[in-house]
Amino acid sequence: MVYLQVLLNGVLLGGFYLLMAQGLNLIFGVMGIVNLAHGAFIVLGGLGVYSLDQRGINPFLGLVIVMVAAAIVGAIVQWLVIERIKATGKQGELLSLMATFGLSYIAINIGQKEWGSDFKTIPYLQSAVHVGSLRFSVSLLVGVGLAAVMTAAIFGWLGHTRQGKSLVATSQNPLGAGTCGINPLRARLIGFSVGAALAAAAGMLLVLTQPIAPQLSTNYTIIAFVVIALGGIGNYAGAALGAVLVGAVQTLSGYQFGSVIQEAAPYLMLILIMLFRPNGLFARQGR
Amino acid sequence: MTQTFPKQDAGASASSSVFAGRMARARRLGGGRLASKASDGRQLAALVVAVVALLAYGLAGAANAATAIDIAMFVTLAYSWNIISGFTGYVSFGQVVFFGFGALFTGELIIHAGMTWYLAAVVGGIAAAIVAVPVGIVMLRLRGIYFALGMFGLAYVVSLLCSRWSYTGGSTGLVIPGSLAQNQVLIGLTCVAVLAFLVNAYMARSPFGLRAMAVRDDEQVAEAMGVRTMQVKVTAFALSALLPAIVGGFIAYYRAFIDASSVFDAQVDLQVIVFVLAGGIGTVWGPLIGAAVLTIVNNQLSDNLPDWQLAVFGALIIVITLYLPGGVASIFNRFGWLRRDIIRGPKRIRARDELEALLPRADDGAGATGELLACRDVGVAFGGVHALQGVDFVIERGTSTFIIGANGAGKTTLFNTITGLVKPSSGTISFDGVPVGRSGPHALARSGIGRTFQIPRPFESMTVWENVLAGALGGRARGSAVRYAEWVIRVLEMEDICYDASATLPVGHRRMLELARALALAPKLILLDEVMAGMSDEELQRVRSAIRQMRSFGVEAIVGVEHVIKAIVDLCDEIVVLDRGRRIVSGPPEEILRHPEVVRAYLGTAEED
Repeated sequence: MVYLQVLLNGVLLGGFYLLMAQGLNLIFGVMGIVNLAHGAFIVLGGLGVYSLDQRGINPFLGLVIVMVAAAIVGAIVQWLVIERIKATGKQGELLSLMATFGLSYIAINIGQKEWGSDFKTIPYLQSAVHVGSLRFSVSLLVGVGLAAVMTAAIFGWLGHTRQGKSLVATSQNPLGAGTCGINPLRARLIGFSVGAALAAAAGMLLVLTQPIAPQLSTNYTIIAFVVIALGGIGNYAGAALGAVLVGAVQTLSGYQFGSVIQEAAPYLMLILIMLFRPNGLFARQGR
Repeated sequence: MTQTFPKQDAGASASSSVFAGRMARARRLGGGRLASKASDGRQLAALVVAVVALLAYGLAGAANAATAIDIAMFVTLAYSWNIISGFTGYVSFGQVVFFGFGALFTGELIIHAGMTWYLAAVVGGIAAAIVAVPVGIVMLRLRGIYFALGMFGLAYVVSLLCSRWSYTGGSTGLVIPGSLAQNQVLIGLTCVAVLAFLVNAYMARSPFGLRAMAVRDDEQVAEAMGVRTMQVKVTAFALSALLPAIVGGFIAYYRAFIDASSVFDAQVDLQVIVFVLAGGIGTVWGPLIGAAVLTIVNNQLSDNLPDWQLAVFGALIIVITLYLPGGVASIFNRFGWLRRDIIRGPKRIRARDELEALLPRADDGAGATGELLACRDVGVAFGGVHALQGVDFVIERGTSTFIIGANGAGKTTLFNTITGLVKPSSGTISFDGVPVGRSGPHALARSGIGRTFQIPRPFESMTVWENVLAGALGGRARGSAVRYAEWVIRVLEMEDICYDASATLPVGHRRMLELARALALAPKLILLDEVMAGMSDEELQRVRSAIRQMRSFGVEAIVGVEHVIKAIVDLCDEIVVLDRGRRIVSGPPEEILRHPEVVRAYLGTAEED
């Protein structure tokens, strides 16, 4: 029974990871931008909700405000920085990595100026739901629910709306998309702002369940990368399974072997899986 | 054989005009290269100036020494990272693991064995290089962002373990006995930095460096050209572990106190990456410039603007990315300074008969007969799709065979299977009497299978000459490889484009390059994958003539894939027809072209021809 509780907690944690990875899966997986500032967006989003909460604004209202703000910041970043990188392919990847690394420094610095380096959290939804002898904290459940809703929304948006399809087309071949009457500039702008908004949403859920601080940004970036690497880059269903797997393995191994293994688990999983399934855990085996 | 060729130039006048053309071209193209000793002298002088400046500044006072030590440390780390990530193309986010390894290893040696600090650091470096071999063999199977993240994870895991293990200081850290020896450490670090520079300079001009760059540009093609890719990658990885570990050892002694979280700090790695990118990745001077300048900027910022240090540094990085995407080194390159000066071509390409006198004659293959390649019941399946099924055929020495078939018939898959890129799911292939079985593509290339690729895949960062040389280096020593590459260039009459950057070649020239690179390997069997597609008439004649001359390259048998049947009927002895992964028929060309099944499956309607 203890194991079941631990396992289920892991699955719920996976929901969080999924939300963290969602935005990156759009920006990196679909648009091909290696965004090292993703973790910084997550943390700033969370801290924004924290500040609004301090002024008496309900976190869910705060979530909406922060998401809108993040979308605007994302669009500005895309327009001012990412869009100006002209190189493509490997060279473009390196340059986007470098530019977003610079961005993450700026964002972390702003975070530390504004909120300091102390860990912050919002005591909200602290109650728990009991099912038999199992116990779930409400904040985790809400988080997972939200992650599931947003995943479905993104999945539907990319696959079934004109705008989403335009973005996918633009990422695969901007020139080709242009000849089909898509404005690639606009598609990428929308893509990056949606990705940033999703990161901010993940930050809000994070600040409800655990203490966060600007210096943790890089850790969140890495976890997000690990989750989408496991699921197969750009694969939304895969990312969901990858996230749940990381969460479950992490909590189980942590319960069994202690905190070192718990922290190391995502990386060990990444290395092992990539050695044996180089296209991700759930990718179809191609040539 | 030469009636369609322009008259062949010979003698000194032609060579000097080639050289003049090449000078002009080298100014025009970033990939060009001047074979002058003057450039060597200037670079050496620049290095001496840099070292003297660093030492003069650093030895002037205690505060200066701290900055100088930082600079020397970051320059070395930047150069080390450049070896594996710049030249070999495997971007790592975790080379700091070797820095930390060296620091802890040296610390333990000083504490427990009482070893002198610099000896301890060198031992630590060697230990790191040894450890890097098995680590590299595993990790270098990962590609792209996965290798980067995998290395990051490895550094993180090792750091976690060391922070819990009391022998490595645990959470409290290790105190290392020693005196405050700033000046000695600075001199030691400077020596390592110079060593790191020399390793990079070696990478930029040696056959080993050329192989590493081939891996960076296209690993699969490098394999097919006989490069032992794993060996090259692991060697580069071990080199880029050795130097950071020595630096780590020096720094451990210098700081007199180390703990896991500071020596495995991922920020160090990210900074090093940015330094190299800002200076110019894959260049010899970029890491030095980037690391030196940005270390100074960073230190200044932390003194003068401590609150906004990160943000200003970040903004600076963005500015460099947007306005100087090739790094600072690219400004200098614009003026022709510090230009990449890779593996030196000969001062002039020697005349053909001069080369032929130097080269061992490769006419032993001319009279040989018997079976060279045999495919028996070969099948390949991708998932549920059978790309090849029960393909049987034998290639005799002294013959040329062409495979025809519609798109998707499995022609390229067949080539990939013969060259070892794809493992057959059934059947056997034997080459020269030896089953191909488990040999990797590079072993097969070295045993005598050369190939071209359907879509030309030159090593794009290299000139035409370097591409051909990379092929010639498969299994040859440098001297004879240079001679052989020269000879191939002469025979195929590619002198005019010899020093052009391969990335900017038109399609016809790219195909010629593919052919030259494959022939430079001196294969017994050459596989030509649609070499005549998309060529002008004049180029077509050149290729056809090259195919007729293949015997003189020591080629014993030719297997080609082609769509243009008219272009091959007079070149081949046998045609094999593939249809949806099966061999439907094979035989001499006249017979095949009349075969009803071929006419139906491949030529379309019977009336057409």
